[in-house]
Amino acid sequence: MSALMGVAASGLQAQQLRMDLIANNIANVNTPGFKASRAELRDNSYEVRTVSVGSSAANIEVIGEAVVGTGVSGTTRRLFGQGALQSTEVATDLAVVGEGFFQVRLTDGSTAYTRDGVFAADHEGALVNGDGYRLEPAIQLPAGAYDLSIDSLGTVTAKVGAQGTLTTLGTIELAQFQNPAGLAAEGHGLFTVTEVSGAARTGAPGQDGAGAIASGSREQSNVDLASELTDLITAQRAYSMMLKVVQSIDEMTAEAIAMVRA
Amino acid sequence: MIRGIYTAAAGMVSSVTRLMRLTNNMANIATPGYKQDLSPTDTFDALLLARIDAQTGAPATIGPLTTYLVADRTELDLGQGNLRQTGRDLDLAVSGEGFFVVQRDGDTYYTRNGSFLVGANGQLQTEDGGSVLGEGGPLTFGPGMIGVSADGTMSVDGVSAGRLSVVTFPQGTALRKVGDSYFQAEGATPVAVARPQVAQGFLEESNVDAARSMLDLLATQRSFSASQRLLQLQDAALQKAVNEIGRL
Repeated sequence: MSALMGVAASGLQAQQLRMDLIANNIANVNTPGFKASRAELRDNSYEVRTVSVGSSAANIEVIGEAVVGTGVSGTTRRLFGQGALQSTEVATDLAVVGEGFFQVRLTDGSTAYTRDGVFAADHEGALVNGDGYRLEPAIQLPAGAYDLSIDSLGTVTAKVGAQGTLTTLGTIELAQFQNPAGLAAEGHGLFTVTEVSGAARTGAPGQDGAGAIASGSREQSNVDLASELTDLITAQRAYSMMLKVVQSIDEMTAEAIAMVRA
Repeated sequence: MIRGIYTAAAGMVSSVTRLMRLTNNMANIATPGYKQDLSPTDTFDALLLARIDAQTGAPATIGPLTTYLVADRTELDLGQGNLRQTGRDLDLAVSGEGFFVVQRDGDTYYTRNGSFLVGANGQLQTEDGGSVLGEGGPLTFGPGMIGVSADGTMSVDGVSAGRLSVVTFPQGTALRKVGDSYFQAEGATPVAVARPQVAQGFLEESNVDAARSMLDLLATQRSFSASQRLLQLQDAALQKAVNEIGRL
């Protein structure tokens, strides 16, 4: 009976995981570049219990096999589907249309990857993201630069100096991964490379499968509110039903124990 | 008398086994590609009761008596689960007959859970790193948009990249669940499905029927209680036989 409670508990945990992820997705429905996650549920291994009869050890006959499952376990998978674009008309608000991540340099010198392309110039004129991490390769705006523009291939140009000479300031590169689902989420919309994701393959936007850059747009979160809410209802229902099962197990156990006292 | 006690106890044991399967089904109500276990209960091989024939003095058969009830078989319900749209490129579902073929650590498994991804090595994989097999072994993809047509032909940016292997088994093959959404078929040779129906951007939901499972749960609990009452009645009768009839 206690093994049975463990199976039931795994079911409760699986539905809990679903509800937690849905809650996080819904909370981030307005976070630019946010990617939704879902629970990947799989059944646990099965136990084969043989039913046998026999009067002595020598003549035991197996008359049947009872295969019983041991529950469910779940992992989290991030879904990297495209989010809708929202126009902001700010030249340094960037969105990737298609595959690829922006690269930013963290304080420890390592590189993180993000789909949140809301950049701005910091006090030294370098393009940084909302958390102040610098875009990589670095784009440096000279003092007094104006009319900044970024084309779909990531080329950054601005008018510089008293004459307003049109100058190319650099090119934004995108990183692609064989298995983006394997990236590790670091919070703040940042991801880091892992063995499972494969190494980053960097290149110019619009080439080798990388998406184009849309300047003046933000990529909205790819959370689909309607389907999240439906999933939330089914997860809650499944949770309640699992609780009923727990209750039944408990009642049957109590009955079995009561027999001994009688 | 003692036999009655064993029959009641067997009823209780069988109810617990049914409850175990029910619990596991309910735990997997949201597991893609999960197939529910049914619990048929069988009566133990009819036991022959004999009496001594008054005329000949030889034992004669008066009929079968069941003393055991065992939930000793697992019946796998391979019925189709609903297809749920996810919109994810590498969510695949088989509609109708057939299983995807997965190779992991040298063993071959079959699955209806098509939540796949392209691993770091470029191969089509399951969540736990098993390779999803095409007609000519593992499927490998370069960068680009992966498309899957209804017959399982895969493409990258419109260029053909092999075909998924979708197999079935001859009638009567015993499929066994081994966990991680996998099935195994010992000693059976899979046969390729002639016209598979693969849906891209869909997952097959678990085929556990929630309403029926709740009904079964009630029935199982009541049957457990009934067996338990029966056992107590037998016990009470035995007590009378031992303590009251036996008293001189």
